[in-house]
Amino acid sequence: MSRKDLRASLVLIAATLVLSGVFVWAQQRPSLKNDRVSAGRSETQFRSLGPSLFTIEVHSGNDDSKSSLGSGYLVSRDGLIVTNYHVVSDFIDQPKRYMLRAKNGDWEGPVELVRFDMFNDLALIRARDVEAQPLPLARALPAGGSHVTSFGNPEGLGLSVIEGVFNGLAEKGLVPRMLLSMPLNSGMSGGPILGEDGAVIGTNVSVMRDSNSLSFGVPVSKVHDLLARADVVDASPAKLRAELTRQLSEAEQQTTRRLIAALDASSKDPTVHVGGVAMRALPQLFECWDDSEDFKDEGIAQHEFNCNLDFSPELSDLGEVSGVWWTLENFSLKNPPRGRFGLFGFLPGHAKSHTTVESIAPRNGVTSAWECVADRVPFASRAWKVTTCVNAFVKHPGFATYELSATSLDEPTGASFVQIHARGFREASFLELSKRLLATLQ
Amino acid sequence: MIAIRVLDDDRVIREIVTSSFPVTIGRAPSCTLVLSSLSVSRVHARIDHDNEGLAFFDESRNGVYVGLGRVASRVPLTSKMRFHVGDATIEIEPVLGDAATVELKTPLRVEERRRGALHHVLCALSVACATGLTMCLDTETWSPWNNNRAATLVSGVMGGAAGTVLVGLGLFVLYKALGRRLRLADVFHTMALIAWIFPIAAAVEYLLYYALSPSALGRITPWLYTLSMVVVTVAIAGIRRARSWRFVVGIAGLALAGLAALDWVQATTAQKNGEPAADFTVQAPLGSWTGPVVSLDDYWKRVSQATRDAEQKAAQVEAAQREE
Repeated sequence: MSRKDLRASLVLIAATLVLSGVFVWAQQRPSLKNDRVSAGRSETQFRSLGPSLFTIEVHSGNDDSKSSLGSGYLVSRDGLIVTNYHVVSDFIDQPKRYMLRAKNGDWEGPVELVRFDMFNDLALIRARDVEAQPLPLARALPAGGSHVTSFGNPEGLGLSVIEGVFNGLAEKGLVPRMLLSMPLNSGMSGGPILGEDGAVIGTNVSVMRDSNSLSFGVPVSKVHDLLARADVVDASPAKLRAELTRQLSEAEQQTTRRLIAALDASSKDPTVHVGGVAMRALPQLFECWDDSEDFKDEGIAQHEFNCNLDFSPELSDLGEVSGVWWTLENFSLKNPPRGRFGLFGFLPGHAKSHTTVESIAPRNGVTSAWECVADRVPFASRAWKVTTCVNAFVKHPGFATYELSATSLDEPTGASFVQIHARGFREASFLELSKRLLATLQ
Repeated sequence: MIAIRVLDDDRVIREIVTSSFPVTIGRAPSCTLVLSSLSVSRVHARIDHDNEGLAFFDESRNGVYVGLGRVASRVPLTSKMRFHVGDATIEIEPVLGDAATVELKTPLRVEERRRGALHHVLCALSVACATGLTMCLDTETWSPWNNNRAATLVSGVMGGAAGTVLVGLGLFVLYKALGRRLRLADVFHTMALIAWIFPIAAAVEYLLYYALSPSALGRITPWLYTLSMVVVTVAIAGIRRARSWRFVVGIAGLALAGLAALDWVQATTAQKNGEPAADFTVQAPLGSWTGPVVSLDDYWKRVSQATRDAEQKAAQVEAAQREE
């Protein structure tokens, strides 16, 4: 275990060093020496795009302080600016408390929220009387492997450019994400990603945790979709909340529909063996990890199989929603039935250590307290102790976080542990998904 | 003539032989037999002749007990009888003729100390065995991750025994300070017995796990432990004391009230902090029997109910926010 921790910290340290190194380097030398063509173009772009790129701030009203910060780019002559939903989500949650501002070297002032797309993490805001050239939007994504340039304002320190490679769309998850080899930094969220011809092909959105140069973008088609919609949001708290609930509902329906279809279609998928237990492989939408360890002295082998949807939309106060996490673990005894009594000595603690129920105190006013039900239930030809906890969303009635944990009771040579963690789902969807996920156990 | 003896653990420590009636027993210095204890009334009892012969009269507010039962206000004295007067035990024997006094031959303290030493060892052994058995019944002791099982057991057993000695000493000092007449052996004796309540409770809980559904178990297990704690409290409070029904019920009531208060505080704190009542208990199967089960469909119905409960709570939070 400690070796794992050490490895993780080493990776983290390495990532931090590389990131900060690249960051300092990018600040000191805006051009990359070994790629003169692209470097020259960047310099021109850097100068000419400046007035069309903005720093977006969520203010609590105090003069020069901000609560959150991101980047944005002008896409129309009437002042429409594209940024990320997560850059302005504090304002969407509490429009009475916060206000939106945008600024660059030429222009500074309040902006209005026009529209947002929680699922794809985009928002459209409008700045009045901006005299700058809008960025051209590409119609489609370039081929994988093409060079891209990304702009933004990291940590509010100043307009920065990062060059990288677009590798195509990420293959996992339900939210489409551009896979980019470039080290984006916090504060660059919402900045444009330009293709080789200088047109916007996407919007900066996130970086891979614990990695040193893997970043993600939202494909430009989602900006086209957002621009094509006619509605303009009413920035009253009740209307914004209703709109967020509507989008949450849409995301949940879409996720559930796609997962159910994929799970129903996967009946012929290969079998995954996790120690003494087997299950049908989960559909490709899931990113799965397989691990096992032999504890010789203790006479026990531990196997785990974890899956999740890599990208889930995120609400500022509730965290990831429309996300599903699956865990299957198996403990096999080397000398059954010796040690069987003792096996049960750590299973309750093991289940507890895996639950988020114990650690997440209901956030003040955001969710209800947890409601839990426990019973002994037979399925997959075993008897299980199943504990399910529910935590309902206050602002979005009908949606909740569910966590189902099950420990097998009657395996002759060990025990298995299953967990389904689903955030931001309706009861019916959770039940439909859980039934199918539990049915993958053989 | 009558002989009245004050007993301590079946030994006579004082004796009066008299033929002048009435004989009075109480705390007041004017009594024939003075028992200087706050548990004794000023004039607690009287022995006198009436129309029907020699009799014992209860004059007290707190009563006189034989065993656990309170005596009637008049008890005819025909043969040797024992009474609990407050926390003292007296023996009354009508004596025929001019029988002499009873000689207290042995120096009591020496004899008691000798008995006490062996007694203490046996008590410690009893506690050690009970603690060891409790630990053996706990599956956590046998967990494969527990690399030092023998050490865990030995340290647990020794800790149990040492803890008993410390608690026993503390109780002894406390009771002495409160004026109760008792010896260390009395305390150890009681603790050696009550130590067995815990393995019994653990065994009962283990069996109940397979007899009951998790929800029924969740309702009953706390009572099992409440009952154990009440028995322990009554046993400790009753060390070297006449255990009347009133006393037993009173102490049990106090213990229950204390436990209920503690439970209320814990439940309120847990509710305030939003701690979930998530039950992850599993026990090693009893043969192939895993206990009563419910079907998956019925379980989903319970999940739906939990969802409705959570949504109701969320609606309450929302209503509270609106009011603000």
